[in-house]
Amino acid sequence: MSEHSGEAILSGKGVTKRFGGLVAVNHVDIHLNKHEILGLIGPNGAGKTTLFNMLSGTMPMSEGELRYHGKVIPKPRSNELCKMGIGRTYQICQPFSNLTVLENVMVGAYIRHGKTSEARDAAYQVLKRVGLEQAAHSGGSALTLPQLKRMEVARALATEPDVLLLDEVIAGLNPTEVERIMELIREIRAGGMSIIIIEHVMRAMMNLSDRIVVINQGTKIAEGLPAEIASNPLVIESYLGGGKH
Amino acid sequence: MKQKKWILPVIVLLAAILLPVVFHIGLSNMSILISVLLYMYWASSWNIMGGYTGLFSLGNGIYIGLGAYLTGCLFVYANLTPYAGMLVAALLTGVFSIIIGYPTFRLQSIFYSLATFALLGMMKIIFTNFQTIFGVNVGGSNGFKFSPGNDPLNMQFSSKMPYYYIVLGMLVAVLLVSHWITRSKRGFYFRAISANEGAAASLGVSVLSLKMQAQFISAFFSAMGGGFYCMFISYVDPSKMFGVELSINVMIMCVVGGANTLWGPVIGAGLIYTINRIVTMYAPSSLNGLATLISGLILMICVFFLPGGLIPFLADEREKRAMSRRKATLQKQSGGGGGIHE
Ligand SMILES: Nc1ncnc2c1ncn2[C@@H]1O[C@H](COP(=O)(O)OP(=O)(O)O)[C@@H](O)[C@H]1O
Ligand SMILES: [Mg+2]
Repeated sequence: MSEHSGEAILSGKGVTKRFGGLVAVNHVDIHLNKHEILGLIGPNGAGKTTLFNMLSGTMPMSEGELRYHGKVIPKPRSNELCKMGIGRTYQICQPFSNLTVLENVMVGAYIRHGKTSEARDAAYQVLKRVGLEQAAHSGGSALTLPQLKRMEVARALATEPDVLLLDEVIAGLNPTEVERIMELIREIRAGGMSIIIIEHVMRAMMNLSDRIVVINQGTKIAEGLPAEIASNPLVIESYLGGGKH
Repeated sequence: MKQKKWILPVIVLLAAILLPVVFHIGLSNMSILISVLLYMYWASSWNIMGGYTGLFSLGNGIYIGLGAYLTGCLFVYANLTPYAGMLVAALLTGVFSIIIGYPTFRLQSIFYSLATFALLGMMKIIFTNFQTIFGVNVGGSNGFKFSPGNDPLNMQFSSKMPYYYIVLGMLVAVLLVSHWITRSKRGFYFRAISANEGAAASLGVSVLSLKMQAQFISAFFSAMGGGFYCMFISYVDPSKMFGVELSINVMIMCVVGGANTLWGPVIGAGLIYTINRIVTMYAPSSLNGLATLISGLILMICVFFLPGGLIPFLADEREKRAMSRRKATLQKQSGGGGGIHE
């Protein structure tokens, strides 16, 4: 994979987030190439989710610049970025508990399909794709954890994004579930999307990612191919050797 | 299946239409019926923002009162027929509601509730203390009065029956609009915002704009009801319109019946109104406020035992029964070994 940012679909430069005195994300440069799966790893509290929140417009940046298709987004807002084609999932699943699973996904589908009947069809197709069609009519709050994670993915997919940001959709799943969702992610990429994925399960990440970025305490400490990352002493020390498995 | 859902409402509506024709209903009973329908209407209007969208207003009296004053003043001072005046009043009130709601929309919902409650108190102070507002005589603490006449073109009827049909029509209208909203993109967005604003925004929902829309629609209908009320009793009392009791009652009616459901506000308003009525009839007059106390108690009971209100509770029970029936038949068919995916 080439690394020059000329063909980057999404990129952040000097992305910084301060919470009072805490610098959760500290001048991170990150870019995602077209049709790439970029792995984002780092210990708990490293600032991965916060970085996602800024890349998706969920949270304003304290400093930094966001580019999408090479163009600077002056004031990123999550609903506008979604319309432009950036979809995301939440690490802590955020179902609409007053809606059924199908309706949850319809909320995502409406952005491309204004008519209810069309949004419903599109949402149902996405549910089939993630293997959740049997739960279509259950309440959004009545799902198991693996189902919830798949619903998170389904909702984001329903917005028909070009860029998909996945925040720990594998964590907490059993090996069969992990295998299924990894398969799904590969399929999604094959369909033309570009993906950044945050994950703790190292083996899954090494397997899935084309390229990996490691952050620790808000700072990017390494970037490269999975094999390079696995043998990087800095990474081993701060992440792999740091009591995290 | 779809048609079946419509049978009961249509029968109820026909019964409501025929009721005053078939039975002779006395003046005071007619007033009661009109009041019940009006509360159902107001509770349904509250539901659009408080129920579906999660904008938990404690001050819908603001919009009801403004609608009443504007309709009354337009009629008395500008000779505008209330049929048009109510619409103008509702539009103006809707715009006003957005202006006052806007600064609070970005806050947590509890602050929105408190802000609406505070504003209700301010409206009461303004309308009871000022004889004239913007040069218009609104009557101060005596309220705004005019003498009733018989002029159908100006919504002035000597009999109460026409008022009954007008408010019934308004109730049907707000229910149809609510029904249409819940099945449209806007309605799904409203409910998504109510459940989780952040997640909704990440799915492309323009949270601020949709909150404004919900607020506008709800204030619009509330104000229409206020305008009707003003024409019905030829009087606007600021301490009733902007008093705590009306706003809280409208909220309680909707929540007890089932906010976020179409029929919740209708059932809730009927129930709470009836109970209030009985209490006021039999309680010693020294105990005023007892009715409010009792509706408050009912609200507490509902919050504890029927979260979501009566309608979702009844629907759940029916669903459970249907579920166990379905399971039983399935087990019979497959000899108990059915691999139903739970
Ligand atoms: N909204 C917030 N307010 C204050 N501190 C926050 C907030 N969100 C995250 N943090 C802090 O920022 C740091 C990074 O958190 P996070 O991005 O969730 O890490 P990760 O996803 O890598 O586990 C943590 O120290 C966390 O406590
Ligand atoms: Mg995280």
